[in-house]
Amino acid sequence: MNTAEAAIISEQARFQQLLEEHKRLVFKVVSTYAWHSEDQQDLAQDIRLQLWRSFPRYDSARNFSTWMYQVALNTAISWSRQSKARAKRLVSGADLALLPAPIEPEDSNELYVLIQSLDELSRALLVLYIDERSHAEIGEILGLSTGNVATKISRLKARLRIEAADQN
Amino acid sequence: MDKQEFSTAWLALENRVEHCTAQQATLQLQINKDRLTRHQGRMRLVPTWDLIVAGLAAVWTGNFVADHIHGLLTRPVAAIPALLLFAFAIVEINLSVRHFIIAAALDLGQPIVESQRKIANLRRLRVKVTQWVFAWALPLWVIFPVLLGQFIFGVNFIFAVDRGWLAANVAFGIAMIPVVNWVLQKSKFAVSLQDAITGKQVSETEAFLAELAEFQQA
Repeated sequence: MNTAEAAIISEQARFQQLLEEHKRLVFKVVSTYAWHSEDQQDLAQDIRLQLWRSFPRYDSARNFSTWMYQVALNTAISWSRQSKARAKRLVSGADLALLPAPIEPEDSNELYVLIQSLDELSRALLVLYIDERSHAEIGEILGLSTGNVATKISRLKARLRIEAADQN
Repeated sequence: MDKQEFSTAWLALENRVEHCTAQQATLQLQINKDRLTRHQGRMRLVPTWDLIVAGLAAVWTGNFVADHIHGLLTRPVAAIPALLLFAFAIVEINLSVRHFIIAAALDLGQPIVESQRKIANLRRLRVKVTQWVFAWALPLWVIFPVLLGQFIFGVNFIFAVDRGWLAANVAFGIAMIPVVNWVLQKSKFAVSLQDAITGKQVSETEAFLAELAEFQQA
């Protein structure tokens, strides 16, 4: 084995280890943007692949989970927008038979409805808030100022409170 | 629903995703890899194809003009098709190269708002290129055989064909519109293409860019 091959294998092992340590982060993002089992598989796979492709650009001075959230959320938002576009095309093509069956959320109906009511960017904010990230880190991940994050979280909480009250 | 309840419900969701992922991971891995490779291939295929075709068209028309420069100077009208095709090819090369530069600079490890803005801009560029190609492809498709005739036989069909023949062709083109329309409605790809040509995708992308700007404001 030459030096270049050894370096690649070592890089792969490092990536696998970091991914394993932070694997729940992928599940958090996937469960926010995809609901069908097949969609979840697709999105999880897309996120892992994008993480691997972006890994050479990862600056090890940065917090890995912050970087990982950026890649995972970016991938999920793009995936979600493409899924919507695909669904629209199916409907406009009168190909309704190909649409997935209605979702049957089991024990998390309330949560599902609340998340579904949010746009893609607000969902990203919500997942970071629930994961108890600091306002500074949320700002870094989303590209917002800390003050802006605080305002948005406060609005989001108020909105969720109203939505939850409506459901009850 | 307070934050604690929310977190518990979320954890249940995560566990379901983890369980599901573990169960199907081996089976799905290859399928998903193939699907993603195909998708990424398609994303690169269109601008690569555009670049190759435009490159060949630019070289060919450039050679053609150089070879026939004296004839074209004595009858400048005959140079119009070649120059139009040449200009089209240059703009197309420029747009394809721009696409590759923006795509290469795209880093998903950047803040969400910034990355999504770049992705949306790239998408808008791609859709506009599609619109632009379709706007010019039809008139240039008429020019192309004219140039080919000039190049191979030394005959400019603009001056050679009679008006009846041209009128029959125009009538045939008009008659084909409902047929093309029917085909477009039957294909998902064609519906997507139609959305691009009519500007629906551009307006959707611009709405998302506005959403990003609004999100960034306090």
